[in-house]
Amino acid sequence: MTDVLVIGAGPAGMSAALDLQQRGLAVTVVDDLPSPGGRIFAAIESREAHGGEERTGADLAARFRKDGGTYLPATEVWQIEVGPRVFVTQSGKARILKPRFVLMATGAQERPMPFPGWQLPGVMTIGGAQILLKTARQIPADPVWLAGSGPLLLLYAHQLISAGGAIAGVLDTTPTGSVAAAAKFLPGAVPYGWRDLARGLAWWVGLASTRTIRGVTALEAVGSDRLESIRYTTRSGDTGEVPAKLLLVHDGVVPSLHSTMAAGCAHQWNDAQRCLEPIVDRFGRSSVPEIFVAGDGATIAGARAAIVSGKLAAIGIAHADGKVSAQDAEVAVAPLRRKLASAARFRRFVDQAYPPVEMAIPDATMLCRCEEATAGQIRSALTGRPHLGADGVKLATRAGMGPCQGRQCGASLNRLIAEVHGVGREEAGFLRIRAPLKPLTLGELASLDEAS
Amino acid sequence: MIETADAIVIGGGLHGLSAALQLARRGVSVILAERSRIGRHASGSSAAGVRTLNRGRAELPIALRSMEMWHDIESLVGDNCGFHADGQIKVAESDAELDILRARVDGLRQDGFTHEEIIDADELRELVPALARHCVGGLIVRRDGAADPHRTLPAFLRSALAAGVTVHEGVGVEGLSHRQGTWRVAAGDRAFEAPLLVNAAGAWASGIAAMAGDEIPLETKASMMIVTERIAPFVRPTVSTVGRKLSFKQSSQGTLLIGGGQQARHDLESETTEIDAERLARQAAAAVAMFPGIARLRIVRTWAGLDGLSADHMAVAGLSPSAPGLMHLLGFSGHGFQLVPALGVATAELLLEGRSSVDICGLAPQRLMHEVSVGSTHALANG
Repeated sequence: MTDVLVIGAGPAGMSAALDLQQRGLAVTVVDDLPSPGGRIFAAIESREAHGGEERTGADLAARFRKDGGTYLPATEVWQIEVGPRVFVTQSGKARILKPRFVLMATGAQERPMPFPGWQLPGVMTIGGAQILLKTARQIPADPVWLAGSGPLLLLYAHQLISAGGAIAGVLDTTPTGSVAAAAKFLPGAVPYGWRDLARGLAWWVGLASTRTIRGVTALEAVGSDRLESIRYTTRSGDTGEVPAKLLLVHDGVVPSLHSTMAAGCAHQWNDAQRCLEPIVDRFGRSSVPEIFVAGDGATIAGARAAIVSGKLAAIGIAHADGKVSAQDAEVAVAPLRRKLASAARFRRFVDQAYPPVEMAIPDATMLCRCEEATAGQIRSALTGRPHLGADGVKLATRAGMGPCQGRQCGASLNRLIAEVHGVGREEAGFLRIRAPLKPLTLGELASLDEAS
Repeated sequence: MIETADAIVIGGGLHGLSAALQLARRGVSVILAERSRIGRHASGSSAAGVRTLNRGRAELPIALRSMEMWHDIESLVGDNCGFHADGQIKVAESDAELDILRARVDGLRQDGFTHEEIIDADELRELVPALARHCVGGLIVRRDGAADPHRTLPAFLRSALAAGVTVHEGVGVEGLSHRQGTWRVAAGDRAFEAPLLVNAAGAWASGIAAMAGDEIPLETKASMMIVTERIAPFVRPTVSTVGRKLSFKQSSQGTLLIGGGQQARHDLESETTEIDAERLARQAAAAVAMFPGIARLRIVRTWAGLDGLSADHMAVAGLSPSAPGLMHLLGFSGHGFQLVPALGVATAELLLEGRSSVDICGLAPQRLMHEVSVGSTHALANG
């Protein structure tokens, strides 16, 4: 019997599971990876922890293994229904879990960064490359080009160089002057993030000798079968083309929305971070009373804040379950809220220094890579049809119908709808997310029928 | 300001578009009011089966006329709508099931219908090599097939617009009244007036009928569909079975489309459907049982749309017995797609000439209505 199902064994999920178990609730944790840690602490048990944050992650994973409840690794959640009823597959077999509460700790994904040619082999995301570096020690054979903006770009550059890789150059899309504009938020950021700031500065200095093209406003990956060169345009109007075999891109991270969307949670637009996020109350409770959300899946704040928000949601669930009085819950969450507020002040600085760029999307861009629908096709389908939303344009162009479930094009579709219809991003809406949220075979689905 | 026309069509699904198209091509000015967007519900989520196979007797005359139109669909809407006539087969898994199919064919022959044929196990295997080996035969309509809903909808919309239909999206009808031979349709701050009215409001058509004074009870159908990743050519005809809830075909994109009528949870008021994974699993199990090679295929999407379900699971198409100049097109019960071209013609004929060239008497709304107004037999057009 499971009281609480935690989806995701990253920092938020692990810390919530530990606290929930401690408060006497029976927890089951499902996670798609083979070992705990989430993306940020991927394979943390089998590699050396670098720095304080990773040591915290390794310690958390060790405690989670011991006292974190029932842990189901390599398990995919592919459907969430009212109840809540959560459908998972593990080792090719499907089953239903019927907890009383669900905590979504599904983390973040990289913001899709579409530009012409981004579908070519040889172009991938920095986050994807970082996972390969962390889990498989994969280092690109040739010097890589990095394009985009954000702390993860700096971190990966540092990690790659430390691991013996080489960087050909950086195409920096960070708006000119954003770091200066962020300076006024620096004092607020220091108490929570001085270590991160110091590390970031060191990474930045470490890149000083790397060829860097600043103020990049447009990119194009060029090649017939695979990437051969990169064309770029800068704010001053300069253009250039550099030969390249591997281009890694990054434009920040956004909450991974598919689980909360599928569960019917209400979402809102976060303008500072240019993303949709689930609406949660002070305890992490979503608009669906049985569903709580913690960590980057609720709002992007990083791993340390995710640990705190996991603890906060654990108190929220214990309170909702009658295990903790309202008064005790308030007392228990007060220090957590202070920490989260401090983390938010740090985040405000980061968001100012590295604001989401969202480069313009030229018509030639293959917005939906699965179904090969271009931005031009999508714009023309939308033009003159103000009642055509994400699902309407999906039917008209097949954009969003493919195997990635709109993870690569959903946010960009939302942008184009807002652009063409002249409405806000929240009003523009998102693709309707349906089962299966994760890869599921016919045989696996059929196994659910055989089991019942 | 009141916008006026000769006819108002309520509902921008395929039936509304087809009716509007046929009216407009006969020189009638048409306003089409769609609450959401064209093809939002049943039409946009249709599996697009073009099937006369195993249809109820009352639907057969119009279905067979429609079939002729599908075979020449390009001349109607300027696009072939992805239609391909690879046949539809109902498979028998036992001799007892095959006997049921034989009895049906015998009954049809007696009534003069020859489009359905029995095929034996050898021919079945030849036509559907991937099918499980235990199947003993089946029922086939060779001229049946399937289309692509995502091509059909834009083709009908383009044709309707080209014929001069005024299409309003985002205009939901809130009230109907009829005075001195004119229908008045209230929709938010807009109003439309016309002597002729078509109710093609899909799962919500019962409510529109009630506004016009006709009580036509409808339930809701929300059949779930599964679509897999793309694979090499695997099956050409559309396959259903006697004993299982299954409809199985391959799209022109290479994906497998698996239906069968398992129902999603649904809510008419919020216009939403929710996939019921336990029921969906039965659909997948039926597919895997009939096509053992597909168990490892990945499911890419699932969906469900909302359609009106009539008490006898048969379409409701006919003039209102009580209100003049009103045509009902509703209750398609999940299999209205094939009827789209011919019912558009029948609607125009009934509204403009009072008679349909194809017999659709068996689909008249009266059969489902609690009370039939006296003196409205003029509506019972016969062909």
